[in-house]
Amino acid sequence: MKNFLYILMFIITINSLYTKQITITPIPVNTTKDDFNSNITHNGKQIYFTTDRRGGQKVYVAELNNGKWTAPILAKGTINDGDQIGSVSLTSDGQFMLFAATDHQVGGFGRTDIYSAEKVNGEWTNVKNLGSKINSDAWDSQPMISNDGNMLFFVSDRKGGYGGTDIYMSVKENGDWGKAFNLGSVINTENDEMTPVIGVDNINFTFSSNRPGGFGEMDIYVSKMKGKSFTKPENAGEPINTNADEFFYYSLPNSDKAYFSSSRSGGDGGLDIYIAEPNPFESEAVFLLNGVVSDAKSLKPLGANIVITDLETGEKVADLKSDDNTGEYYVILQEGKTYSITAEKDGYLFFSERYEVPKSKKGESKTKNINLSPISGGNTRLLVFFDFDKSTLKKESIPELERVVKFMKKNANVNISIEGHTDDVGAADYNDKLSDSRAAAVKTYITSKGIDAKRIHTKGFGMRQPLVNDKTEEARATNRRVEMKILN
Amino acid sequence: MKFLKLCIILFLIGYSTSGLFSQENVLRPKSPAKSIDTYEASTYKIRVGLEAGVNYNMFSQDITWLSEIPNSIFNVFSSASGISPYFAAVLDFPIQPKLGFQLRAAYDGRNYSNTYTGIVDCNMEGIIVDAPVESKITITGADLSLSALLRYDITNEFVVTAGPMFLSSLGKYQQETILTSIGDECFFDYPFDPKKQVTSTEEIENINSRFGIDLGLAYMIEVSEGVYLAPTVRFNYVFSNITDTQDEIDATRENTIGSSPITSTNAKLHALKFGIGIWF
Repeated sequence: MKNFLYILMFIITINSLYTKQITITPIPVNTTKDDFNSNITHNGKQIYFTTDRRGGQKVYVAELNNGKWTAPILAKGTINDGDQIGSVSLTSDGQFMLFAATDHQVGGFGRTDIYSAEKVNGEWTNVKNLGSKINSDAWDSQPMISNDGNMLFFVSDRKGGYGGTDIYMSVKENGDWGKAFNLGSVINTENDEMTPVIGVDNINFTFSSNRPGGFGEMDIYVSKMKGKSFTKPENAGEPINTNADEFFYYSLPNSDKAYFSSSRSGGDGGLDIYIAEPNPFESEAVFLLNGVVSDAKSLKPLGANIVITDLETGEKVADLKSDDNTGEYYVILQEGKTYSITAEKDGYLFFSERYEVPKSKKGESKTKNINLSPISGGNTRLLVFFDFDKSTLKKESIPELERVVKFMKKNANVNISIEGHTDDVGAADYNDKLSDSRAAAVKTYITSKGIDAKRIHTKGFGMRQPLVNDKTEEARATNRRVEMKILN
Repeated sequence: MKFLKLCIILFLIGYSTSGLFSQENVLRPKSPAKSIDTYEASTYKIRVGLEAGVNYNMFSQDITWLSEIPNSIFNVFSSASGISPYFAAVLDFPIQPKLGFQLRAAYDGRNYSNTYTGIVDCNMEGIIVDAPVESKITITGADLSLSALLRYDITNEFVVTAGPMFLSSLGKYQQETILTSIGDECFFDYPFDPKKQVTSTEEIENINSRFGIDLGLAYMIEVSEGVYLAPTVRFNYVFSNITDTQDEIDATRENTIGSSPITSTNAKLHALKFGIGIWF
């Protein structure tokens, strides 16, 4: 018995040595008023939050400059035109947001509603009510959009719930939000459930509730999303929860930090924003791709539309936009997947490239800068695929070919040259013919869609114009290509 | 007394409508921890503003002659304008998120002038000369103004205020008149002390208490937490006359055309104000 107690004490001691103490630190944007809903962009450079420092809740933003947050300013644009506005959820590219407003100038369904806004030239504008599939004549607030942009969680006190406020969900169907549904009795109770947050892994799910068994007032609860079902929520415990209110528990991607809001004693007053470190409820690590879209000639940053497509499934996994002022973009991708990245902007040739995220790259960030060629005199590499040693186009090529067709229809005065290139494997004559026939295959597809054949010239260069003079497989892959050049 | 009653009525209207304000916000459908009685106290605080700037004073009155005297130098009194400083302190009492009640006290310097060149009969030792004379008047003084204003926030930055205003003169206004003979035909005090320019000053019997409306537009710029700079433009339209109706005799053309009684009525002094405020 005595030995057993010694062993037990030894295990407890060792365990406590290896368990890091969670520290809770306020961030320097807090005031004596309520400051809450800390939404940090995935590149970690901006924090959007809600505060009533001027009387009435509004959306404020601060930027990370040399490791310090700048003084928060009112978010620019028309989002703050109204009363009681906030509870922002940013899309993963930081270029769109959902937010709630009790009385926005755009108009709503009666009480607090959920709206969307778009970032244009640094200002949040084009505010739109999300409509009757999401909003009701009851209180609808605290939107939370998933990293892939396909799931929306929000809170409502509409009739038909379990009592108090409940968490609801909507899924995007053909680009529009589907009818919202209650998350069910695993998450919702007769008490209040609020402030849903889904992790970047689309698994980790946190929310607040004042259900019995907590530490008092609203506590943070943690669950995991599996498909459309949830595991039984567990109280996040101390020191996250206290006898005061705790809301909006955000886990930063690829970080051991979490941001949340609390009215605990010792703060600046009202609700304050805190960092919990290390984060005991980290989301699974993800692969973060970021970069800058620029004009290929002037190097001026560009706000371009970027589409990421899973090349295996053909499914569009992200539809984002680079920042109008900085050209910056960032997107979370899955390891072991191969994507196509396409960037488009009016006045420029589109850009497409295959991008492979190797396995075991979780937690990494990579930079992929994109240069868009102005139409005049521009050229771009087409992301088209052929069967091995043949000139038969694979079906994965169709989205890119459709982009060429769309481009030709939109720019009716433009003539193009489609130029085929091979690697250095095989005889030169054979490669000339192969590259010629591949360029012709591209032309055939385009003309079959109604584009005048006279506007398209083709040429096969075989292996005579390699981009990289090397014999590695990587160099050969770079040299195998079809290019599109603007002739006039 | 009427002014005080108006202030109280405005405040009561504002306070009574505050109950219409929804307690709802984006965090909670209701605010159970904060009753309506404590909500304003905890979320909305009384703000203090200090403002300084310039008045563009605009004076005008109607002058009528019983018999017409063309080019009378009395025309100089028909209008005047000028710039003077002002300083103000404001208390802002929030009623609703976009609505508030303000009490404003201001020191308004006054300075306005006008110049007119008319014709006078100049008696040069019995020879009457119709000579051109430039008259310039400059009026200076100061008012204390008190305004009770309703504030409405058009956007987060643009704020309009409107309300009644009471003005009280701080002493009597001073009027300086300078007459200058143009040309070489006419001299004042000829032949004893001939000079081409004479200056006189006098006090104006201005009406001490006046009423008007005070309209303002400000742009609030947050310079640090809870501190705002506010470029402001205001217009003070005053209903009350600044002087009573005055009857005088215009004898400036006595020897050639004859004298005429003149009546000055409807003397008004409005002001356009450009200033900058700091709010805490």
